[in-house]
Amino acid sequence: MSEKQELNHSRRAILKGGMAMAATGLGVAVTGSAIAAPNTPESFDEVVDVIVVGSGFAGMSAALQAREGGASVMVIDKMPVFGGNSTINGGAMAVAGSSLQKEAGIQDDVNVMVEDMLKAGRGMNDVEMLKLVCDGTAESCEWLIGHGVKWKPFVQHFGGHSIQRVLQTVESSGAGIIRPMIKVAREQGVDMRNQVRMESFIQDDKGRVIGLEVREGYYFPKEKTGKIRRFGARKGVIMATGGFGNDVKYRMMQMPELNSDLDSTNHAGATSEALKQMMLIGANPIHLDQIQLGPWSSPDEKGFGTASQFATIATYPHGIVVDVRTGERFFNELADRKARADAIMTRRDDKHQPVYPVGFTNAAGAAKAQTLAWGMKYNVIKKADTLEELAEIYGMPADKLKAQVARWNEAVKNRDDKEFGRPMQEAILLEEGPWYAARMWPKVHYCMGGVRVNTRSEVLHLVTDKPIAGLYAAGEATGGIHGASRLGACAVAEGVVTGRNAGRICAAEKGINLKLS
Amino acid sequence: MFKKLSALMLMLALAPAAANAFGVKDYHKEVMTGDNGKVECAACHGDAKRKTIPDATACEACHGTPADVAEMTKRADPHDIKVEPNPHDSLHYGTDLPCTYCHMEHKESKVYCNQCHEFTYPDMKR
Repeated sequence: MSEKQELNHSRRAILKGGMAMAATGLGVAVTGSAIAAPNTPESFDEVVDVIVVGSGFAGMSAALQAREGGASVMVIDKMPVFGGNSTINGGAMAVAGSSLQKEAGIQDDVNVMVEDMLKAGRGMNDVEMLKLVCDGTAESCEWLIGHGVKWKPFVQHFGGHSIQRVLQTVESSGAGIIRPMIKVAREQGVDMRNQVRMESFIQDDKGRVIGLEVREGYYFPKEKTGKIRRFGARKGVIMATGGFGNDVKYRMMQMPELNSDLDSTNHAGATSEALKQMMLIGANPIHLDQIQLGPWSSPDEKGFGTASQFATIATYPHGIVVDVRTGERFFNELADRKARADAIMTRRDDKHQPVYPVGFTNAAGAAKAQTLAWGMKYNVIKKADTLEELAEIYGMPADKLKAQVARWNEAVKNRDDKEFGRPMQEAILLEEGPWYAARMWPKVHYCMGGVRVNTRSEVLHLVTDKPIAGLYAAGEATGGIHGASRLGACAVAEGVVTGRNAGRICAAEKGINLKLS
Repeated sequence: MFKKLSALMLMLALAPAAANAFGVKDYHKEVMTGDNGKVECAACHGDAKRKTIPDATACEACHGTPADVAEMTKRADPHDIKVEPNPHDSLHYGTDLPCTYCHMEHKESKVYCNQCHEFTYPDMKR
């Protein structure tokens, strides 16, 4: 068959289903009737109980939980690889009441975690969903261990959390969660399909979601690759499709200042088309303009890189960040992400160009930084034996830098940061070199916004606020849990807890009969 | 529709050519050239239409499974920063990434990892 024949055949198939938009691209005007007409085929190429779209924390948790609930499960991902942003993230999970906290004598409580997240979220959070997430962290942490995840044997203090409650995989990567989950999923017979892109929902005449039209053999990002097929879902479709942090055009519609000058920590597939398909069938978008910048990244490398890990485990808890022009601190290095990113981005010259601040600590502060050697190899993290040398590398005034370090050490001795009110549990005296440093500038990291769901992870309709039958969503694809700013390590918590919630509830649904073609 | 099809068929009729006209890589020329001296598109593309990116299983016929390839490029010490990590068995993706996202036959190959990383693989045939 020729390519033209194939494409025309595909397009005809979609047009017949009434979803012109999916095939012809978003630049084409679509009539109201084309959107409203439910896409109702009589039969499907393949049918399972549950289809999960996306294979990050939420998707894999949903898939495993649904499978363990007895459902047949297919996971589709448009990318050539599984795991989305999750498998390239830092692998840190906030857990209230973990056994590691108890061993370390750290008192924590679900309510304290809720309070911390509400504070960072500036009160905009969906409190019911927030409570569901925090309440599920301790049990989900154990569940992950049971599925092969290995945590480092200590608890960390991430910015915005009032205490140490962050666990991190031994790999310092979300891959330490995703790879074990994929392994178990395959062993348990979850059908894992990469290079399969969701095109549109298929609904029955009552509007229930009964499947998906997909593009199988899709080669990201080539739009017309692959073949159109129809997959049926007897119990439901779980959307674990993440955010749109790397969709510059769509994120600029929400926040015009987040233009292409800003890098992102996200993988190339973090785009908006799945969100748009949910909205097309009535999902309610919440907080889409709440887009988070990660305050720990470096302009001297791409994406999350090596500096982000260095900052979260070394500089921020055990070091300081200074303005290179003054050698002085200018914010609380353990504030929430929004406060820190906003502070860093005030450092500009008179032409509004960035003046990258420098974060640094000493060898003791960097002792646990696994990416230190890699960062130095790629010249992102630099080493200096003395503060004078550090000042010279970054063009800072040495006398002022030394005075700042002396003032900081006084604050550490008094356990009180009078200037910026930083929590001092993890602060150390910065008296001896060698020093390790990186330049810093925020990058687009996480979409707090997404579709509105209830505590059963059902996607709620824009008009009725009632569940859209057969449609569930979990993880970053949902909106409202984090309000205006997500705290670090709370995306893993959210993804795993809400993914499992969706998987458990969807698998328990009574399935409908669907015909194979 | 008919016009487009006939144009395409004409192209197909004219298509068979020497290996270099297709930009086939030097090291693949011999194995991809048929007895008639023409490139055997089917060696990689099978029955699929022109310009369809081949399924990575086509590579396996000669190169072995992803696990075999991963073993061939295994690092003595995966934590040794002096050596770039094994691209065929990544921390993030295991052996899941299909060959065709890095290795291109008709254009320059690229390293998928380097969307984020800065790995140098000087021995990779581009």
